[in-house]
Amino acid sequence: MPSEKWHNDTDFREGPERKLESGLPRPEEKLPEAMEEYVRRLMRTGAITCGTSASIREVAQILAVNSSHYCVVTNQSHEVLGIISARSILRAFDRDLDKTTAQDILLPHTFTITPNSTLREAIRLMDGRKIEHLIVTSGRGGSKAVVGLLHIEDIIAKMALEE
Amino acid sequence: MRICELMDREVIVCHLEDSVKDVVRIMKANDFRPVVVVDETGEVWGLVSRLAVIRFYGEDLERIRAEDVMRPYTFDIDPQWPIEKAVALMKKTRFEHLIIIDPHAGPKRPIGILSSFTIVWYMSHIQRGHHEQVLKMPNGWIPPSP
Repeated sequence: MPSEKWHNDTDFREGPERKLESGLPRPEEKLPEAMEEYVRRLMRTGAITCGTSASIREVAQILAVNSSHYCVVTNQSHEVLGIISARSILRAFDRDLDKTTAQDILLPHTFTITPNSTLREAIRLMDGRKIEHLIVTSGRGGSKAVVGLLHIEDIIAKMALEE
Repeated sequence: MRICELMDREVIVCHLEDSVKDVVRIMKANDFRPVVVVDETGEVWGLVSRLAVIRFYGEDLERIRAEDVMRPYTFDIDPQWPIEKAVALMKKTRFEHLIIIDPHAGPKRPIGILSSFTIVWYMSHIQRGHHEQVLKMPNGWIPPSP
């Protein structure tokens, strides 16, 4: 099963403190600072997606019926090309909603984070780019495979619960 | 379509002196919606967005006041405006949410919020509360115009 293989290959949920069988830390990973939070703890796996040829009306319907503020745009090989937010759709308000496609308005997939990025790095990226959702990629060997999304709601929920 | 026909009439509020900790708790309890900041008379002073609060992650949220992080209220938006006028303003200012005030009251009392997501609903041509039926529709079904 591909999903099982994926899970075994990217055991990011175990955290950077995991060790090799020899008992030594993995050499490519830095040990975490005290109290530092990582993206892997808050990200959600799975995403709402659409194809590049979907019309803006269709994307708006996908967002509306799923009560989602974003949609990930993928090509036929399921590679991520970008993300469409409610704001992106708003910018296309004056266009022909049935002829303009997702390809025309997507925010290109140029900035991503990995499960091992810190939450502070992710927040800096969100704040700087004014985006509320970040695509999380595996980050192994330059891979752009999507492993999940980081939502602003989950960060706020964490802030509300912290003492 | 006018703003008053589309806006969300449930306005989530906090007070100027409330802490950011209070604001994130209010957001969490209200489906992570933006929070309008009002004074003791109920007059609007600004809006705290979701992006405005996360930049204080890791800081002492009890010490930061809502007044310090809010986007000050700048535009008087009439609920009778057409949606097109509101969209043009949102595109120009890059605001995700507009506070709609009561034009007949003396103090500027918030009576609604218009968000970009609400406009996405409008653009989708799906009526609120009808999405369960839409999900059951066969492929190729075209929703009726609003």
